[in-house]
Amino acid sequence: METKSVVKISDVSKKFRGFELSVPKLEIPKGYATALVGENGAGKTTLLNLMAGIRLDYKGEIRYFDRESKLDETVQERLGYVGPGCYFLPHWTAKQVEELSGMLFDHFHRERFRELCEEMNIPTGLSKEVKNLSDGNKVKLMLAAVLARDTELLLMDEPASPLDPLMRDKLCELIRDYLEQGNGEKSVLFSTHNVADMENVTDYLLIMEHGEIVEQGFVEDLKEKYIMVKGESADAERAKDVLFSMSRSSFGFEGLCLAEHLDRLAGMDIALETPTLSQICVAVLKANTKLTFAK
Amino acid sequence: MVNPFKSYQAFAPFWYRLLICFLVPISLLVIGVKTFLVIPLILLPAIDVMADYWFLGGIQSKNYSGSTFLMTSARGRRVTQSAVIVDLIRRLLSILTVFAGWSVLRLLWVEKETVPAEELMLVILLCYFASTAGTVCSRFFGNIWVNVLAAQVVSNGCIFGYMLLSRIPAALAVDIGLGLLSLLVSVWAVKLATKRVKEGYYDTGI
Amino acid sequence: MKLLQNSGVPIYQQIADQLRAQILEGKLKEGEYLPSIRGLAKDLKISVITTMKAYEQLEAEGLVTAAPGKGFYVNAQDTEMLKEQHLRKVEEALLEAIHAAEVAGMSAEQLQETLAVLLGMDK
Repeated sequence: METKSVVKISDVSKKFRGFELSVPKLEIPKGYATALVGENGAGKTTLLNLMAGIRLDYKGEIRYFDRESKLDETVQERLGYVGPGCYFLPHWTAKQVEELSGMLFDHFHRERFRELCEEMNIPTGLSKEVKNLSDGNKVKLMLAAVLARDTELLLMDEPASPLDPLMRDKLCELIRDYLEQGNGEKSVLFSTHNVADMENVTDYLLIMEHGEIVEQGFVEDLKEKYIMVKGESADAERAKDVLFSMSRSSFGFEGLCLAEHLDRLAGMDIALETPTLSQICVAVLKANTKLTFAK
Repeated sequence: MVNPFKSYQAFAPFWYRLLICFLVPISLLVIGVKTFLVIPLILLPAIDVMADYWFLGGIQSKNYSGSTFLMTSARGRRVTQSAVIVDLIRRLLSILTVFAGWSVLRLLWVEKETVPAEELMLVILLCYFASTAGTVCSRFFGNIWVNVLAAQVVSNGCIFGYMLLSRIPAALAVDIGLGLLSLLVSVWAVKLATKRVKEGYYDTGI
Repeated sequence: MKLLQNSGVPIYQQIADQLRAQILEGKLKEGEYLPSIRGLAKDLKISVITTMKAYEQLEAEGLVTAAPGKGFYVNAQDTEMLKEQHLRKVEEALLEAIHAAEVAGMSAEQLQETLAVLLGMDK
């Protein structure tokens, strides 16, 4: 399947105390929704900050869109960023978000902003200061401000975390609509803790651990690369070496396996299933993590 | 390009502009004319410092996430800078309206006498310096009580400052000194307010 | 369209199978456009990659063609191929009947009689 890239990252690295972000090569596919998954502290926020252009001290190159431009005014105009927490001045109201958005960006549509505020039920009264909004409303306000602009790439840092399940569904809908409007020209990258909620909208998956991308791919390809295996306790020991990661109980074992290793499990009484993205993420992260699990 | 007045308008809500740019100066002008010069001297800088909480309150504080939105646009720094500068100009105009206006009105309507030019300059510059310095200090905290405290300090400072400085015979020298201080604090106001939006891109700027 | 999330069959395969059946049964006519890739993904709440893969498989089998900018439309189905499909179905059904007759202990003549009676009833 031919895909173009909307963002090309090469040799990017950034050192912190005790942590290093290192991404030698990464290309975000254009026209799709990419999910960035990882443990806390894996480097998701750092990577998103670099891509959004709000942190500029790093080594390496990040290039955007068809012309592969570096971050400049035109790129920033076409980039929409939703950050963690809330990035507006605390005493602002929705009105000021509207005013400032109009000032800071060329293509901001006030009508659309107001419609979105209504659609998402964001309190817009004059007395409703940003700092007094609930976490969910803060995210919704950032979303409204960003979606009311004409952008080609949305970068969102854990947008679903403060949202209730109903609003998460709405977020998936908004992402779908955005991609549909763009007709292949618009792309979305969001980081998440809970890929299960975003599973129905994810096209491309990035799994990050210790500042590195440890797995990536289109969802269909990953679902073919890995297979969920369930079997009997008796076979658990033999299976342990073949499976990517495994969990055991008194009823048997289950774990993820690379499809190409499936024949090593021949002769065992097993059931096979297509893994969900959640299961893939957990297995890959377990294999790479520094946390310890019961063996 | 970036329209400075629009930038100011975007940062300052309507009620703020109505109050601070019109109602306050005009009221203080009238009050000053009817009573004493010192009354607006106590009130004006205090009001300015208080009101700033709703303008750029906390913009210079540590771990301030409010500037991130501004950083996502190439125009963020310029818009913020314009707003700060227009605000400083607004302060000066407010002060001039109140005090120079006081002088003119006093001359025309009330006692046909007023204060000497140097003393007027002293009041104007003292007021501007106090108002701006107090604001710059309070912007390091996003806390309304800090603004309240700063307003008090500035208010008292103005009175004592006036009493002390007006006794110094070398009035012109005092004026020039205050003028320089005012200039300095204005430059700092602009630099500090835009610092986060300019340098926040680098770890050292945080 | 009914999709089972946890069966062993990949989702794109299920979609392709169900659409193939509809095409071969004539429920989707020649020249008719399949739902858009994104539209179908939205309705089924799955990734657009999955629907794309399903459609690509159908295209590889010659059942649909991609019209750039417009979507996928159903190809004219070879009537010979359709006939063969149906013939095969008949054969399968008959083989099942034969097997069932064996299990029931019916003889070949009894089976043929039953068939004649049923055919007569149908008319």
